[in-house]
Amino acid sequence: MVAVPQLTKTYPAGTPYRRMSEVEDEIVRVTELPFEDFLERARITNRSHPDFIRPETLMHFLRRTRSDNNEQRFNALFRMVLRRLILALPRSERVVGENTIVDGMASDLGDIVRGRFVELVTLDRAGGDRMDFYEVHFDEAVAKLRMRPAKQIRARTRRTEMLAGDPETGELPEYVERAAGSFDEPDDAFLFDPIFRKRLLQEIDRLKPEQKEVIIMLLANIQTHSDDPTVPTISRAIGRDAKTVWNRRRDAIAALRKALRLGENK
Amino acid sequence: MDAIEIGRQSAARLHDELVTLGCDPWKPLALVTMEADRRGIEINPIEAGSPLLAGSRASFDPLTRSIKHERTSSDFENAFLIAHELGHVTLGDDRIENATADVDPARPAEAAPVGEERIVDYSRKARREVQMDLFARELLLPRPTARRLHLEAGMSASQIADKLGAPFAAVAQQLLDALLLPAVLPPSETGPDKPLNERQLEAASHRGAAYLLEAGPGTGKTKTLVARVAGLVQEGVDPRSIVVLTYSNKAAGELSTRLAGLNPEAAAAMWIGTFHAFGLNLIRRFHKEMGYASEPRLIDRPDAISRLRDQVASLNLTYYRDLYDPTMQLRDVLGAISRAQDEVVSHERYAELAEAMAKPGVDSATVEASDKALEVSRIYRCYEDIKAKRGRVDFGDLVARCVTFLEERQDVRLALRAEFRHILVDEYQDVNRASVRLLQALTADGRNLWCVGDVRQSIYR
Amino acid sequence: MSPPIRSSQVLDLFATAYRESTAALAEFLVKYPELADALVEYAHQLNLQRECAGERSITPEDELWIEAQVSRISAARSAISDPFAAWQPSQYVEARKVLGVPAAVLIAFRDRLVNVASVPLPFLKHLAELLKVGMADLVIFLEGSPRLAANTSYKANAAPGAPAEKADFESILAQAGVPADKVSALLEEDI
Repeated sequence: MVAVPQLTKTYPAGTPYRRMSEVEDEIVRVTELPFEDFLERARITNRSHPDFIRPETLMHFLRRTRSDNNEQRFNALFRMVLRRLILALPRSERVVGENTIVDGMASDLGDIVRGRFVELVTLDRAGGDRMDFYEVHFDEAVAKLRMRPAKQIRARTRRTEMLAGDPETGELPEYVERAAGSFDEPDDAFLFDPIFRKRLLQEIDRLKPEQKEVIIMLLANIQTHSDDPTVPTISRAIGRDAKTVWNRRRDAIAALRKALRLGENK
Repeated sequence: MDAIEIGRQSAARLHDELVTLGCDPWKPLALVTMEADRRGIEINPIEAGSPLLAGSRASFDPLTRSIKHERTSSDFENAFLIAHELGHVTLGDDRIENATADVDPARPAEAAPVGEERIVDYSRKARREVQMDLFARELLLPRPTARRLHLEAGMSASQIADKLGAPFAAVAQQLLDALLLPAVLPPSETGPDKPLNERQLEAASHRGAAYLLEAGPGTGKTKTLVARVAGLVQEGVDPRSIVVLTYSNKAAGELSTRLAGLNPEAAAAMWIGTFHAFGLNLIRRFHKEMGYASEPRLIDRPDAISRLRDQVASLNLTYYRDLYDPTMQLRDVLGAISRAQDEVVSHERYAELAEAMAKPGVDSATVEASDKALEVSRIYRCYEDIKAKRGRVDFGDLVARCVTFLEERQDVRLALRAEFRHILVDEYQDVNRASVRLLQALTADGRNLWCVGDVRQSIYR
Repeated sequence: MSPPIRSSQVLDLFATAYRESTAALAEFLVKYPELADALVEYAHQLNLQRECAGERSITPEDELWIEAQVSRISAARSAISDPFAAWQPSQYVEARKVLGVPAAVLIAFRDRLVNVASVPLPFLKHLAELLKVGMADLVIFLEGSPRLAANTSYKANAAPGAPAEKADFESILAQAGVPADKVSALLEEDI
């Protein structure tokens, strides 16, 4: 049995990218199929259907046409892959009651993402490992396309935390105590409530960047601050002191509550 | 004064200009850098062996206006490579083949292979490349300067070489040229000749179909030819696309000098020379396409005779066999072969013609003449073998071989027609059949061919 | 010396880990603090995708868009044109400044000496913009075989010829004498 050729891109430690074993098995099975049957099965989008073919597999076959230069096959597979791309993206409309609201910003981003994908495929045809990850985790790779361009995401210079402790009493100010969880804070419970999950994530997109990043880290259960330098904290990640983190957290939560019509927290 | 001398003088003038602007003549790299800056040309040193150099040591690209050169460990050598390219820039190659600008709307649209499909022909001995090397040497160490340093400042070639950072050989060569070659005065800035009369003006400004100006001696033929060339250049014709063919080297030199008086850079960029020199240049450029492993060298008459003499014994000659002094006979035979070459008659054709002479019913004298001619054709074939084996060409080959090559290769013809867009011929009465066929191959049915000559005076009558 | 770590490698690794557990964000923030912004943003996109997965279906507009993409790529393949053909010296001068590379590097692209796969996406995009062509057209052009430009003058011992093989972008930059720090900047990939 011929093994599926390995991917060439490598992780930071030097290990090569590996496809999931389910994907490799599927590739081998599907290679036997006549092309027409393969295409028919590729059209299926319901994951629970027994004949469903994973998008990673489709990408693999699309990229295989690089070496045989077969235009027909490329076009047919490209269509299938584009369908999977669209399915992996969130909708840009929301249905609220009887109305369908088109989110302009989301729709623009959708166009940009589609454009980026097509560009990548064009480039990838010339060779290289740019799209290797699409054979590993297709949906996750697509999610990456929604990120802002690298230029806009600059590596921040780290600022040392300044804890303005009261020199006399040695007590830390109130906001630090709060951030460390020493006060009871129910106002952010909604962040973890599955009912609000989808709306919440969409609203998070609309937050100011500095608020957005704090919330995302909170959702991942990262502490706002800690004395222990080995513990990951929001403070260290964004290079701001605890007070700033606390303020941004407070503003973000207020904005989200308002957007989700949860009412002010007293 | 030929194109090479014109080029050298341009270089010397440029050197002086740069020194006047404050450049230290003992810093060759600074000198060429200053000139490049003045002209807005970027210099890119490139790692030796890089594909960016495309197998060359240096190049100039007029589109990006940049010079690439192999990065060597010697400042002088880097300067020399840059200076060679500056020669190209100064002497006419800072031009982009603009497909739309020079197009003659009446000209048939031939698919001339330009750009990447062009047959790559390059020869460092090709006149233009020699021109650039000498330009470079002159720019870095002009002959008058070398002369002065040696005779007045008492510096030896080694001392000059050390101070300049140059290899001894280059300095020595410049010094020898400076001391031993007769000084060639730069062309005086002559104004235009006496104005042309009406007939001459009409002739000079003719455009398009082939034109022959019949004029006897002393009728101002040369003046008209010079005026035509000057007119073409003024109209914006690329001087590199102009070819002027003469009968003798002396005539070529005189024409060159007169044109240099009007526009030295244009004169240096155009081709002015004899048919044979032109042929030699083509053979050097296209030797690979013609089937030679390396650039063929010239074989002269005495050399030819001595080689033939060695072979002749095996040919079983009767008429042309002279046991005591084969040389005399061979000289005659070679003369006959040369005349055959003038008519572009190959040894096979010669044999055919010889046989055709002996038709049934002719008299014995004709039969004997036919046999003699057949013998010549055998010697002719032997001679061709000798030349082929040794990679040599003789004087007659210089035009004849080009004719056969061009007549076989449409792609080369088209490429050359695109390159040489105006051909002028002086002393047209002296052109032989081979030259005519060469002209036919180089021009599309005589388009832009302009000839001047006294047809009553032909030596080929 | 091992090659510098590309941010895309880290993000891909992160995505794989985040699938298993959201605690991966904290781990990666500690290990790759310089990529904090990117990691946080990516985590958000992964959350969003997981939440919205499967809600979409293919609409007729989508079908039209898909067909348009297929046609575009076919068209670009059949009508390969030279995007550099229209450039005059002034455009080359501007491109040198804007892209920050010597003329020799631009020539390498014009004459198709570069291996497209080795060129970072941001650089290609920038070049395509300057050439006023789409990326697909530029890439398809660059895939052609190396050529020798028409108007170049040479000094050479033997006839110059177009190289048989293409070279990687990084080596071309090095051979053209671009300083190491500039090379790193030019090699930066998009995420």
